[in-house]
Amino acid sequence: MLDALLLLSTAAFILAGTVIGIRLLLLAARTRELPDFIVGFSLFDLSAVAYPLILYGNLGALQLANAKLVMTASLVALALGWAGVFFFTQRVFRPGESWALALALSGVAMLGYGLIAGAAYIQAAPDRASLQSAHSPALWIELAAILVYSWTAIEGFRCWGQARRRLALGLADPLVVNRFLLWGTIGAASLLSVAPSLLITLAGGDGTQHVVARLSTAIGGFAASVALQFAFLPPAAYRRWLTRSATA
Amino acid sequence: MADAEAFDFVCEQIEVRTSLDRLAARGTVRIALKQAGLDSRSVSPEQIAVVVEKVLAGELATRGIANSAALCSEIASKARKLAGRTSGETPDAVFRRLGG
Repeated sequence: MLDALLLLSTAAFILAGTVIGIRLLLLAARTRELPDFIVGFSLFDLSAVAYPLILYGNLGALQLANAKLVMTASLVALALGWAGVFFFTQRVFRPGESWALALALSGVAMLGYGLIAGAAYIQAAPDRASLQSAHSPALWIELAAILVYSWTAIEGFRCWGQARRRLALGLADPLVVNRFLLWGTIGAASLLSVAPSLLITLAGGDGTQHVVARLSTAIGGFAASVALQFAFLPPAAYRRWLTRSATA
Repeated sequence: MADAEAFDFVCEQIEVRTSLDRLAARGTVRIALKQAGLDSRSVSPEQIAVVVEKVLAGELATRGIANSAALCSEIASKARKLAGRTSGETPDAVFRRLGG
């Protein structure tokens, strides 16, 4: 049951993220705006490349050498995708603030270390079980993900709070106000999908198999997929409802 | 990042036309902007005009400034005539565009 839920949640995230990532990349091709490209690239990279590679790498039928190759490729995709999320958050929400640039660069440094040391660790692993060990430096990549998703959630909810006040004065678009709420939700849901698994692994458990970690990954994945859909491809009825609610 | 031109303009007007000194004038306008969910660094002339009329007038009244509504209405109409230069792209602009 939990396996099916997890698979369904991952499939939903891959589908929603791929479709919306492509849509945002096409938008970036038209607008030539860097934030549009960064968020489109990150979303597409994480959902269409990194997660499918992780699923493929976890297939028991793969030979060790092939599993190492696929897992290393997935680390590259994860690091690139999350580096993009760091720079998107810094550039869009905190431009010109030195602490935000320092935080983004620190996050990218964590990703870089996790990628290089993690790839070396994977190449030296003697068997499949060692590939996802709690001692793998690749866990730095997941730590960076926790950091960037926390930051995303905080900035999304903060901007939502401010935008609601502007909306009351007629200075904001209700769809944009709601998009901030959904962006914060995407950050929080993504955090839920990665944090418990990593914490259990760091505590010495098996983060990939623990029931709490699997359930939170499934719930977080579903919530992020739905929020992505409503933020960037909202159904017409939802748009009408938001506009009506704002004017009521 | 420096404050937006529209913010500086409104602060100067408040300082010149009321008994508030520079520090108090800027602080009061910042409070009004915060209540409106806006930032002094990125506020546009149109946005600050609305805040001046709908929020700042009340803030000035609570500080004992007489005829604050009429004063703010006048400052708002002048603010609207400023060029729309702000410092950089706001999260609003990015998220509006991302919605397609």
